[in-house]
Amino acid sequence: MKLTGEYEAHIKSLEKIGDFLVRNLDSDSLSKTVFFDLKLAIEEIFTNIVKYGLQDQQVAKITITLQVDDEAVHVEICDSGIAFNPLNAAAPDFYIPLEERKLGGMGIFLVKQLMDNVSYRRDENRNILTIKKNIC
Amino acid sequence: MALLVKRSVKSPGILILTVGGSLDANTSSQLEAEVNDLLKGLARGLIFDFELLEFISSAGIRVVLMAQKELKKKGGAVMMMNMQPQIQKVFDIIKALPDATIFSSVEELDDYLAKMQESSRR
Repeated sequence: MKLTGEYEAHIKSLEKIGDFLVRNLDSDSLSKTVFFDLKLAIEEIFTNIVKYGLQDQQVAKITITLQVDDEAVHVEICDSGIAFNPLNAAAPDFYIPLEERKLGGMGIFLVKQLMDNVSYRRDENRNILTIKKNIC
Repeated sequence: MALLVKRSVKSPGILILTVGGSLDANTSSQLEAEVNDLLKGLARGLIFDFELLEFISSAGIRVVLMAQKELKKKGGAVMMMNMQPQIQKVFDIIKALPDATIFSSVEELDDYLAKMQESSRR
């Protein structure tokens, strides 16, 4: 079964997204770790789109689609902004002392580390980011 | 989920910020304002007590790193205590911890602070 939520491209939407995830993913069948990791990944991607992807648009929506099967949770995050692949962001440079390190790129790095699969595609003027988190 | 921030004084110059709820992109500015306010005063040590923290994202980690950076400039330090495993994991992944001091209990923290005071008296 697919569940979809549509949200204004604004940081304030995070609260509603949190509720959406609690309603649909926070169950006994999913471990707390899986839920936490997914929530974190979805927030990082959403925030990234709001910050960098939609700068050219006044109003835009971001849709989040969840699909759970026996093996994994699949999430699709779509927006209709300019083509933007967040996965191209450079990873933080861990060899630079923390005080001097630029803090950008941290969110997407977390997503890549916490998820089992992350991919981007451009389809009919939409950015589609797909993430997958294995359940067991 | 909202963010809860409570300020208390551990000992002169050492402050505790108890942070609970969700420290995310939507709420992190609240903690940032609180930290900036604390940094204006004299603080040698800032302890983040994360016992009630349920969620953190990179926006939240940025605030902790900012506090660490600013306090270090003044010769102070940031400490963290009572981190839940899922919170600690996020810090671990971005290797944000080597510079910070982490305690798993109040007793451990008290020992450390006592030693710190002793060494500053010498």
